[in-house]
Amino acid sequence: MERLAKIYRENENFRLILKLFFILLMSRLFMLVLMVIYNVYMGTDRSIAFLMNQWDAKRYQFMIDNGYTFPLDTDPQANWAFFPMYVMVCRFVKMLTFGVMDTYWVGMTVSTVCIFIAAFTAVKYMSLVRGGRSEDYLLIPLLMFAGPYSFYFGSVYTEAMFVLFIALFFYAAAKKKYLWAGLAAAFASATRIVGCLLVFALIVEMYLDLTQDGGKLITWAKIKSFIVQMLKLPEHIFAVMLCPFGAFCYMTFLRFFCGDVWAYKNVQIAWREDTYFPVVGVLWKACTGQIEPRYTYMGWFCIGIFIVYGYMLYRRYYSMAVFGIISLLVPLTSHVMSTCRFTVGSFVVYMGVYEILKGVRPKIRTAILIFFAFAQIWLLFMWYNSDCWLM
Amino acid sequence: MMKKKSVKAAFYAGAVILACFYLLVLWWGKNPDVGLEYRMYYLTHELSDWPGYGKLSYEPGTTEYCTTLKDKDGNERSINVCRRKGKGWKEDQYEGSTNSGKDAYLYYVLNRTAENASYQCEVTEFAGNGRVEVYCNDRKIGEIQGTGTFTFEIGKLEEKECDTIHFVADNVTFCLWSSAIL
Repeated sequence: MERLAKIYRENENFRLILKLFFILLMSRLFMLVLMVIYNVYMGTDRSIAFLMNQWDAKRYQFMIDNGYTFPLDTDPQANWAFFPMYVMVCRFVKMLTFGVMDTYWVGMTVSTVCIFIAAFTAVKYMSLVRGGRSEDYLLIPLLMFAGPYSFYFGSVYTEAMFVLFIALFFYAAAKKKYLWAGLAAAFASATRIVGCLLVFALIVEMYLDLTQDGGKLITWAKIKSFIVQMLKLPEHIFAVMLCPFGAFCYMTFLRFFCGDVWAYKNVQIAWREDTYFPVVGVLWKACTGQIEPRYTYMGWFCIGIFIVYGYMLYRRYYSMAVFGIISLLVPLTSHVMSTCRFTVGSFVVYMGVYEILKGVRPKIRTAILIFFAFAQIWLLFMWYNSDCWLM
Repeated sequence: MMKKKSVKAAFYAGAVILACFYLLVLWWGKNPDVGLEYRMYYLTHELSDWPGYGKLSYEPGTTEYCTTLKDKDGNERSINVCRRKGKGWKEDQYEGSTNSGKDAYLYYVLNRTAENASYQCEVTEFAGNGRVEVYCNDRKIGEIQGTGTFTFEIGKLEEKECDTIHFVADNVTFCLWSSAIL
């Protein structure tokens, strides 16, 4: 016991892990209590696995057990739209349990482990780029474990794993270990297609690294110098090329599986028939209430998130803001559906929210955090209730 | 120094290999190896319903009904449901398929060559003062000017080819209930 206390006092990482574990435990207990309240209030007797895994979680559960399948004659919504990394890891974990463990619990365990490591990495990243002790940044794991929409990170969804790879990417990039960053991006792109967009974040990181002189951020001379230097750095080029590797591997699989490498994109037609002008048209239709009320909310949510990313640019989180903006623009080319999930799943928004919270007066910060807590309670109830606002 | 050079060369080579791999995948993307139904539904969006793999194939003489797979109560239908509709049909198809605009399409891939094929359809609703011209593979085969059952001579239709029945509605809304190539 004394030895443990000594390690706790001297080892910052050990201390951080324990604190993160405590926050995670509290957040999950909170979810559990709300489940009990939900069941009592609604007069139901639904299990944890049932309540936590709504909508696409059922598809992931099916894929973990059965892999990719062809569309039925009566249902063209093939599961090729879902990228394989998370499914493969869950399948492997299930195999380790000799197939005994329930698939939902396997998925939830994988997601929870991923978000825990992601939160740890996020804190280490902040401590690296902003300085100070790791414990100064515990607000970030609090948001990731218990903030609004954080239930996605506890269910059978790819979000937690995706956040993990993005966090690892930015941590490696901040340490200027670009090969590792490229590798993390490759895994991210095998988890969700927008992982490919980390290539832009990597280029921004490299640009800032190779052209830093305290002068103007972007000049033609700097861009020219950057390109020339890059061509002389094969390790950098290789790291950049590595970013979309995961997505291309999946596309290769699709070629041999169904004959179409773009199947994950082409299959979307089975979900949606309404088409809008990309981004501007989508946001206009959504924000002005011309679609459904939930999409009006999501439209304004996206506007708010763009403001957060703008603030991140102001606070010099260039690569993160670039990634956040592009990764939100991509879904907005077709619809606002699921953009709340995509936003929390892009990880970088937590840095922006953290900076905003740090920048406001303590009373306002407390008020915002209380609002987040109530929002999370409300959202959790909606989640347990399979509300389509959270699709 | 030598080792550093070889590491550099390895990274250049790795980058080139990755670039070649990506180009190969993109080339595959340009040339998908898919069946007709997949191409028409997922790629060109010519089909409004997903018929299933190989399900555009058609045995001449089979009457199909232009309705949904399930009725309003969610029960499976026991009739041959037409799943070969292209663009131009309204979504609500419980009582037959109504055109949504000027052009509406059906697609057939015959299992065997039909020497003297004809197209037969039953129209249950017809609203408007105009008419509906019916084309098979861009050749006009007849006109619909009201409700009833219509039969139009087509001529020879080859097997394994995608044949298009094209309805051109001139200020008319019509509801197609059944369709067959005889």
